[in-house]
Amino acid sequence: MIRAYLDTGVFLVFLDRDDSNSERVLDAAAEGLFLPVISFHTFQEATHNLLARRTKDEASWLRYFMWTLPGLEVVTSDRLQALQGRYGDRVADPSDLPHVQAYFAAECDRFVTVNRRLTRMAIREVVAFRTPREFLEELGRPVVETPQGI
Amino acid sequence: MASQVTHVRLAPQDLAFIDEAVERGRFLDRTDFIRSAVRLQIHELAKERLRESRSRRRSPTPIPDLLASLRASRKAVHREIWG
Repeated sequence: MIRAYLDTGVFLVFLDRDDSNSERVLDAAAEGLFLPVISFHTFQEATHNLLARRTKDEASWLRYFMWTLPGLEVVTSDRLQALQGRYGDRVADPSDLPHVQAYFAAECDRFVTVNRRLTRMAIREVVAFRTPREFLEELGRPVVETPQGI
Repeated sequence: MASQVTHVRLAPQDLAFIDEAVERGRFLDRTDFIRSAVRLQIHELAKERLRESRSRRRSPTPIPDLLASLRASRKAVHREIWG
């Protein structure tokens, strides 16, 4: 089964828009169509973002939502520590690096992201980036028309 | 976090169903089944709450603003964790 790393933006887009490919990707994960992988950074970033823009309640519910995603694998900090210094030459923004390292640590097949900047960095040669729309198409699931396939 | 024990009364037909699912190899044991069911309920309830709060908002955040806020959170978390 496909192991797909879900970037933080996928969760934030789901929270923000009524119908999105990101939400459909999360529905596909809940149906067991692929194995979702995130890292402890994903939790931290989503919480930080919602506390800044939304409410504590939403941040809390999102954590429950993420934590109970069926089949979820969370890449922990000790697994990232083991990859310290790797791939830094191919990722322009160091804050994106832990997610790329988590992708490799969990031996993922796809990296689903709404972050177009990241998909243009040199790391794209070794990471299978997909927009939520592209990933749904691979899964053979219906898509919705959205800017940038988010 | 250490797990805690709780006692649950279940109808015989529910238990029979659980046991069959375990026998078929879909779950390790009764505990695995019940744990999975509880997580699924939490997931669905959380999704419902998140959709409710989404529907209360008047309009979605413009995409460039949403992505900019994510970048800011990513940098802040990175600084906090890795220095």
